[in-house]
Amino acid sequence: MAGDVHIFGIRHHGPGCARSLRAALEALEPDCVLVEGPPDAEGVLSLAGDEAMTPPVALLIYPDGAPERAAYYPFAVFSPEWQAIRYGLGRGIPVRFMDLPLANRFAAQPQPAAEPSDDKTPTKPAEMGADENDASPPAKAATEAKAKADDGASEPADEADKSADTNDTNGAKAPSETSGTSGTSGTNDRTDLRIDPLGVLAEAAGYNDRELWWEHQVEQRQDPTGLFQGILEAMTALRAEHPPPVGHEAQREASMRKIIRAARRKHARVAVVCGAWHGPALVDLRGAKADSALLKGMAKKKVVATWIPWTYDRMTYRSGYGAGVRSPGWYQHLWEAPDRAAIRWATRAARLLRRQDLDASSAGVIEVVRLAETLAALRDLPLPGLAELRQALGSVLCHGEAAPLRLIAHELEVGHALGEVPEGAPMVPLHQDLQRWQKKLRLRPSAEIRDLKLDLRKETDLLRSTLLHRLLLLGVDWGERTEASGERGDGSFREQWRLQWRPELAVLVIEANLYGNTVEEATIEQVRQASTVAGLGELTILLERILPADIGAAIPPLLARLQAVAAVTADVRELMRALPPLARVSRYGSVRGSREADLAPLIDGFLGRILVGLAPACASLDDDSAAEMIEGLGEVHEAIRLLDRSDLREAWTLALRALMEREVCHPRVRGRAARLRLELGDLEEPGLGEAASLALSRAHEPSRAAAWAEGLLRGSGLVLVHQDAIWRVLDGWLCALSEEAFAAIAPMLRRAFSEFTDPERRTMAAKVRTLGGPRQGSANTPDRGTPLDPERAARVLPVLAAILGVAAPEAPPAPRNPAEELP
Amino acid sequence: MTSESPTQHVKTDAKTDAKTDAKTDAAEAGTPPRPQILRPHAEELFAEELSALRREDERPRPPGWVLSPWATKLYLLGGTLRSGLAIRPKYIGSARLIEIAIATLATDRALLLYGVPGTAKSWVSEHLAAAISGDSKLLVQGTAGTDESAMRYGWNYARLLAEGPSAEALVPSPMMRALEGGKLARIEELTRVPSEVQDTLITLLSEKILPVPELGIEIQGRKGFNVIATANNRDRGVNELSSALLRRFNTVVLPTPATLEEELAIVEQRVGELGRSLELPAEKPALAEIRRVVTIFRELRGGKTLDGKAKVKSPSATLSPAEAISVVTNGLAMAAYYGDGEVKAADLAASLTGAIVKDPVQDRLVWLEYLQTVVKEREDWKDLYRACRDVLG
Repeated sequence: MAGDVHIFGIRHHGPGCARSLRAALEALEPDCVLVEGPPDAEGVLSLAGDEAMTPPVALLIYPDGAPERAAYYPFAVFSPEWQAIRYGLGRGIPVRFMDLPLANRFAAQPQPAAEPSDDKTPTKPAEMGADENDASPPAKAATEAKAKADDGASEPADEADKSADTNDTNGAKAPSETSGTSGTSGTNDRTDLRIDPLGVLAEAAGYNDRELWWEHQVEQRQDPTGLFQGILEAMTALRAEHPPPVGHEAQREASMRKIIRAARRKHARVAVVCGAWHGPALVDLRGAKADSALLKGMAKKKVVATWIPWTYDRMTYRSGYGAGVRSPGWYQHLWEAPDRAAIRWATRAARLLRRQDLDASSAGVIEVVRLAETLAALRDLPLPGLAELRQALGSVLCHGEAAPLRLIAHELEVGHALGEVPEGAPMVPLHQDLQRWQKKLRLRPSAEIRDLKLDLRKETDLLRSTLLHRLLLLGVDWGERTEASGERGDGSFREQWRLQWRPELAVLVIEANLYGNTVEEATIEQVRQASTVAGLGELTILLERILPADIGAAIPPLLARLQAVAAVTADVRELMRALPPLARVSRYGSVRGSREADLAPLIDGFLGRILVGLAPACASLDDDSAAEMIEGLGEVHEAIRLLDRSDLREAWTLALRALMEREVCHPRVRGRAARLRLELGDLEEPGLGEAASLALSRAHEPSRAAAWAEGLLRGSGLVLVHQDAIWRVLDGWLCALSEEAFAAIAPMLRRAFSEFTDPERRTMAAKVRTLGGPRQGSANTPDRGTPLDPERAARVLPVLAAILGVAAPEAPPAPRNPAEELP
Repeated sequence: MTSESPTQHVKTDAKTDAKTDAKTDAAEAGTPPRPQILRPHAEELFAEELSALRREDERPRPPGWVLSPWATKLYLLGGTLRSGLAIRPKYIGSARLIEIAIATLATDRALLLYGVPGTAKSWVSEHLAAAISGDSKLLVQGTAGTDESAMRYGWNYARLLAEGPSAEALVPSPMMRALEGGKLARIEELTRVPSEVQDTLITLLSEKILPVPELGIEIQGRKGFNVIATANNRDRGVNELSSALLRRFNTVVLPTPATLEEELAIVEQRVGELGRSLELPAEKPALAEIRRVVTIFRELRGGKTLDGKAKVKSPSATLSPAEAISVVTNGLAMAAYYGDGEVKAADLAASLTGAIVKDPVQDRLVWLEYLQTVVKEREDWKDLYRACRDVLG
């Protein structure tokens, strides 16, 4: 006679479930364990017992050659399935997966995501107690949606389906059901029940949060006796209200029954671990013929299965994993320390806060626990849960501040755990995709350092460059950009790289695999995530970096994000700093043949905001901020010149004009504005002379005038060389200064002149000699018209001789020549 | 101080309370007719609900409490009693916050209600005191001039000089009376109280004893004594609470309402009540107008439009529900006295602009930008756009 079948309906990643299950298995001592999961992965199942295998890990299964359609099955140490697998492997008894093979499921649905999401919604909406297959889709749905958009193979309904999936299963249900199950028409009631069986139970129990209900009834239960029987009965009652499953759903349960039948033929006590919802369907094992008929003739597809390390972060809802849990860290805490969980948790939180130099006394911990317990009592709960503890911590230790609470949520509730996979585990899809590219582009990874010169006009080289840029974005720094000898400049069609493959890069690839299964997909996702946190400056740099990586799909959202960030940026300097990269991208982006993003509206928006904010931002600056502002002016100026658009140039000229005339501006900024106008050709000699004489007129304090001159002259002396008017005004102003005023501003002038090049200085010196004519100089200026006095000139000779190192003629020491002060 | 203006009606009300108190005392002694009170205490206003709750309350009560924590929660959040009496919600918003507040008081810890101005801190504190102690009158109104006698005790100097220190010469503070009576004391605007006066709370809260060395006695707190303080976190740094004091409080931050519907409910309910008490002849304002005001407030406060499509800059004003209430009430008054009784965009424009533009330069720009980019674009908001532009000039 066939053996006994014991059914354990569980919820995913429920520590209470896991503990109860473990205890139940130990009491039962089964000789065979069946776990709801893909039989395709049985080849690698034994690796789960490996010493080196440390959860969180995930089973990764994908159709051969199409890793982007992969399904993930994450396991944490507190997942009941994991405990069941470990129990079985530890005892040396057979452990089997018993779901419908993914080989069939991949083959059944050409649309990768439509099928799993279809499958997911009915059984278990978000995370309750159904199956881990459901775990798979949403994590990849987001990236997949993009990838799929490219090949255009999907129907619009699928897209909508997936996006809705991550937030709310309700909306996702309707379209997928009709497509997946050959037009079954469900009443509203029925759909609700299927979507949220626990919700119906929770409501009946007077809870409005089904999650909470399950938590209180199952996870926090200290005594597991009768638990699984209770779950089975509850689910049976629910399913009695509900028409039997059809289509794919029915096939899954048929497949499970089939495997159970096979197992009980050989074994005496079979333990079946499955999602709570499926439990009742597996009790009655009659109808083998009907099941076989249902499963007959299903297409198959070759699949590949492997283990990959997983993180708690990826197990949360937040990461888009639909069957995720909110707080894996809390669950692990419950798993490790079931007794006095609240006290331990509060203490851990306090210690965490203390490490961050936040006050958290032991007295505070006591109050946290008391408050959490009172809250639990007020809410009629037997024990405080995470919600009560979080609120108590927020109220007592964090004084209502959100930041420390976020820290606790991030560090403790989620945690940083990263799993490990033994060496023998097969390779991740991203790595395979990378290898494919390496083969195609003939870029063998090697431990040697190798220089690579690329000519971007050749297709292969362009692809190589694109690949390397993408890897850089992913943090896999296989190649390092080196300066091409000679010319630099982003428009250049040459690139030079230095390549070296290091073992730790393999780890980086696996980590990057969390973003997506192909290099392109992963890069897009990575950029998307990076762009959600970055500031304006980082965003523009990111934009500059993704262009050579040729991921067009990532550009529009990034541009939208830039717009949004720019709209609320109050700091004009930051906008100014962000403009040059944008200008470069806009100017040179198309050189690489990449799809050119239309940046014009963005740039217009940026410049518009800069121009509006420029005048106020230049008011009442101190010297340091004036220097920064001048730098910013230079950056914008450079960008404008690069963009070479007359409308922008005009707007910029107007802004500079206004800036120059604003009295409240720092004089250095005004001087610089004059200089930039000069460069734009907006200011001619007479105008400049006028402006200079105004700025240098005696009504101003000498230091302000000197600052103006510094703004105008700094960087290049050509203005002085070519603009006689300036020369004269400056000369006149200098000569009219009193001695102490001159001493006071001399350092400023020196600074202004310090960056003049030698040829410039020489030209100026020559000009000093030749420049005659009328001047506004006052009486104490030595008059160039006076004939040379040989006797006085001879006095200079000894000094000159000393400088030049030749024999000096006898002469009295020369007086200081005032002209020496100048350049 | 400007950011406080919309909540002023609350504060001034509280002040008149003290005055009317004195008046009623006098009146009781002399002529019977009670003067009309502008704003009765919570326990008087909701006496019926409270007594009904007390009758039905069967859950255990902490010592000194008039109602059990469960009944208190029902009183604050509203619901229906077995007798069929509907309890009006006093606080519309997160039930969890109210639960934390009640649980805090039940664990004998002092409660600090924190939040931007106009988020019903005083309102919640008054109703908690009314429900738990049956008495919301033990109130210290914190100001920069509050001294120790408001937290401990003062003296009747005439008697003190005539008779020397005696129990009769002692003037107990609300805090002292709460300690003796086992009731809740309320401190408003704790952060405005000078630090040295705040310090007197430290030992009072941990030891629940108030020694009177002049008389050689001490007042030992009776069970049920506790303190609810409110403070607003907008003018932080006025008299920042010391960490020693902060440690003795559990902090509950009252947020601005989470959803548009919630905020609408608050504004509508309060505008209705205020309109009645001010005897405004205008019709009840259309929900559409309230919705517009609340939408504008939420968008400016949140920094983006409600459909999430566009970013907007936020002004320096708090834009709390209390301010929305005051804008709508103001519009109601405008419509009643100068208009045809029906609230229109023009009636709202002036007070709306006044509530948003607190800083004449920065906020004006923010408001203008918002008008141009958001309000102007909305088809059925043209009237509001024109009215606001007229006000801005």
